[in-house]
Amino acid sequence: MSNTFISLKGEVRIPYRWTTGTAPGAFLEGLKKRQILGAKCPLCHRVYLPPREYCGACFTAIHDFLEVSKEGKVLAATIVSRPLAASPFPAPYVLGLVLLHGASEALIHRILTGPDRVRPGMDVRAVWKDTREGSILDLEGFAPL
Amino acid sequence: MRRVAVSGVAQTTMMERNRSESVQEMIHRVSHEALTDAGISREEIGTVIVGSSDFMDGIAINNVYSVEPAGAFLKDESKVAMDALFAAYYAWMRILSGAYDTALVVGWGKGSETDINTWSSLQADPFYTRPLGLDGIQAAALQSSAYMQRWGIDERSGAGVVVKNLSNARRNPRAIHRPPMDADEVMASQPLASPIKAADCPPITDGAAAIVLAAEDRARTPYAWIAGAGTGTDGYQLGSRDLTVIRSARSAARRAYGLAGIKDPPKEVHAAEVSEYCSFQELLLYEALGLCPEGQGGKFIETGSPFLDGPLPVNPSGGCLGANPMPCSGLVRLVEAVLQVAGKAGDHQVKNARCALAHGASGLAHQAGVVFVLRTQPPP
Repeated sequence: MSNTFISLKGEVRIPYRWTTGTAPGAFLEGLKKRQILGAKCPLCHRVYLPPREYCGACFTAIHDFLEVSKEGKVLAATIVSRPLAASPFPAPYVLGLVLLHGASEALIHRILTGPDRVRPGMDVRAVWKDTREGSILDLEGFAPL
Repeated sequence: MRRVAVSGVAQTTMMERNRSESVQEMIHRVSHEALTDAGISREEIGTVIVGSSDFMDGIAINNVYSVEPAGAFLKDESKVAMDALFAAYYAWMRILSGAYDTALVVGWGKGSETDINTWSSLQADPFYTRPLGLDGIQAAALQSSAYMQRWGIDERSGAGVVVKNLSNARRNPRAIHRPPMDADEVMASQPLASPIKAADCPPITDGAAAIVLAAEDRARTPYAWIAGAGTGTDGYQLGSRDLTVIRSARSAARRAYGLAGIKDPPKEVHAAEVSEYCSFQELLLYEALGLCPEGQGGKFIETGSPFLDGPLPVNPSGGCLGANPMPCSGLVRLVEAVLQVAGKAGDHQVKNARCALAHGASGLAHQAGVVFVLRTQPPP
């Protein structure tokens, strides 16, 4: 067996053009208008956020998209000191699970506060970018009330 | 249900960087070793199931590339694109069905050859979470943070897991031997995403493992018997899940315990090998696997219970913190659990272990889980 260390560098780059489908399409369009849309299951009435076209528990289709509040509570958070994959935010930043009023589930986004100021259960409100293009990053994040 | 034994095991000596073997060479070597260990020829093997990741290897449908080195040439071969312990589950099912009597299961991963954090970030959906840069460590951090908050768990309990597993790893000739750390050193290590620090994370690892499963009448060297197994999966979006409980492991364990007739895990399980992709997840797993009551994961480690000399050793091999050849760490956990009940675990042997648990996981924050229960004696 050879002792020579030989390696070959390469990269996988594959372009995609994902069809958003009804739910992400409605959600991303809503962000442009500063609206946050959830999806309500007709059977269990759970409001999914981010929205989807199906309820996993009831295994049924969802057609009802509704606006949820732009305010809510931080359920849990993490101070990202060192993102290890590509990140859009300068470190350190805080990522949190935000339960907006009217939604049954929490949305992940940035919490706009100093790392030492984050408290579980804190009340926050959505902060928007001035120019929005239909991306989850149209939200700057959620800032304390 | 047919009685199925693990009749051959092999694992590579785990390394942070294996410079002398390609993935294919590693697969070939470990597959040969498992067959030799089982005293079975490639011709006799009924089916080959591999567990691996296209993204990890950088080749689409990567199991077509591994056909020859994994002993699958002209055989009925299939793959599970999850942790290789799920491949073992599929192989077990193939034997239980009666369609096959023997199976070779192979898993591998060379984390050194790619960027595993970019890989984990690709599990996030492209619309809602990937643009945020969410990766496996941040997902585990949200989970750990939610868990610690709910039960008032001290961050030092995670450090306790690191101290234990690194110490155990040093007794395991197959694990990566990193310098031992004390709790203060763990707490002072580089913060990544709170509460996770560099020392709370497994090493990037190159490694492979393989096992032979054989139905009762075909098992020449039955090291251990599968008493039961199960899988479970939680929902996809992190915000839709109760991150304070690893539901996938809980439901997989319930199925496995049900088949194995286990009603009181802390008494009936003598050793557990679990897939802790960060230290805090091991605390969550103590609870999800029923090894301690809900909310008591911190207390469990503080009382010394899961230490090698404690009443219920967890990860006597050092676990993933000892070596983490994703995505085959769960299969390595199975190999180690087999060694325990076969009395072949050498310096990290748990005394009188006759029943051991092996756990594997895939997906952000353990979305999916698989559990095997192994015993020295065959099922009745």
